[in-house]
Amino acid sequence: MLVLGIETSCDESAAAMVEDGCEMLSNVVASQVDLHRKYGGVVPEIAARAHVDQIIPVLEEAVVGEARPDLVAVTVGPGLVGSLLVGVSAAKGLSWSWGIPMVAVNHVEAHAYAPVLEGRLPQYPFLALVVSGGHTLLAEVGGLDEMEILGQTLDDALGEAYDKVARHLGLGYPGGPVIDEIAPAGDPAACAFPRPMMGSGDYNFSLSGLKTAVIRFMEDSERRDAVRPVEDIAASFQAAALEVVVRKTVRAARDCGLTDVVMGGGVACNRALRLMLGEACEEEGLRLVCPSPSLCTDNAAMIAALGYLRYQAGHRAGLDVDVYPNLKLGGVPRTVA
Amino acid sequence: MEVLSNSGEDTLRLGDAIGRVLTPGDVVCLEGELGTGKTVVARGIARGRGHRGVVPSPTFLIIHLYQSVGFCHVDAFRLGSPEELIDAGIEEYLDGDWICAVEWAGRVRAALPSGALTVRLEFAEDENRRRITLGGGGEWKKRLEFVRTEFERDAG
Repeated sequence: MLVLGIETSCDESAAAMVEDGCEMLSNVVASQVDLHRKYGGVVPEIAARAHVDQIIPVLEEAVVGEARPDLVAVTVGPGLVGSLLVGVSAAKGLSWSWGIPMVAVNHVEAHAYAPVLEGRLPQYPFLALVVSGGHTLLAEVGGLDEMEILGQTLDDALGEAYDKVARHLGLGYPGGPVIDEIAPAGDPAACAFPRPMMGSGDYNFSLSGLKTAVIRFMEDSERRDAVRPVEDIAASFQAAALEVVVRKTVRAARDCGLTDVVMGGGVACNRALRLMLGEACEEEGLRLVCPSPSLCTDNAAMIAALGYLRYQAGHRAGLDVDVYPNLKLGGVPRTVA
Repeated sequence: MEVLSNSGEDTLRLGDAIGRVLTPGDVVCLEGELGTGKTVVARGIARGRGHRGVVPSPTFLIIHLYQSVGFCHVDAFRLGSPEELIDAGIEEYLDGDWICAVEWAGRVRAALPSGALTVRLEFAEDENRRRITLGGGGEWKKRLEFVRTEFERDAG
């Protein structure tokens, strides 16, 4: 079965063709990062307008040759309402004009299924760590549509903390890659930043206080005329943020008796995180699956992959399917007709 | 009116007290630099309205709704103009049924009603201390007095 996936929840317009839920025939992503860079973040209205401009070219590039898909899978949430509407409207149009069924997909859940595209999805149950600009959560995946949150951020998402700290350091957008790039040149022990929630006894995260600590540290060092190299601050921030994420992930897996860990989301591209989590999992005897970077960031192939599984399980979306900007895990209706 | 908060817990309590004097249709504009505690005030307001769950940063999705308590938490950090907040759908939540708290409200002030309460947070000398200024039109005066009494009483 040939599945067309469509994803427009945030700043990527993406479309992909996937055969039988696992074999990628195309995976097209038109990134709006350049557009957003000068604004220091994703500007929603710009996002929606750019999606309108990009969606048709992206679809034309993804649907190659004469082959028509048998199913269209689309992200219905969570995300920015205007951006989501562009993808969902395109999906409805294609579903209607080609006479093919449509299935709705939760963007966050799809991140946990990206490994299927590289033949590496573990058996249920497994632990999913999703880290991105808008999400930071640990969930136990017991089966299709059975994703239970174990812990999540109580304030800022991991990628959001990176973006805000990078902005304060004058490093630009997106903050994650920039900090990851310069951190190896700095001393991670140079600034004693807090490890928030480390001993909280649960799997929740709090990154807002760490962000504030970095800002206050910089202001204080400026006042004392003892400014630290930006590399040291970046390295120290990254060490603090990632230590909490890695320790809690390992602890959650251990406590819940899960031996497989899947990491996804844009921040899963971060080299330091991949390295630290990889080492921690190995020490603990856990198997870590982290897709290639192009499948960690937002993409439509993972939407097609999860859409295929949901279709096989009997899910369908009608032409009246809505978008859900605040969609929760497991929140996609089983059958919308 | 000005108060001093000595901790995040203090700021949360102030938000809680504010939440208890609000009525549907009220809008609270939250102003202050990164890390001063705007989200903490909003979290306190949600708590004061009776919400018991998590209140994360709305930076990414712009608008977070807490339906059961009629609270709408907005963040204009990534927005460039009032029109963008209208495009994000804010008008639906300014119709009198909701209480709205808007972070970085200065970026989108023209999209918000003139009778809003403004809460401005600033870093003070000590690392955890914040100077918080509350102000609005005349109709806020009585309610802010209640907020101050509650805030100071709880501080013991």
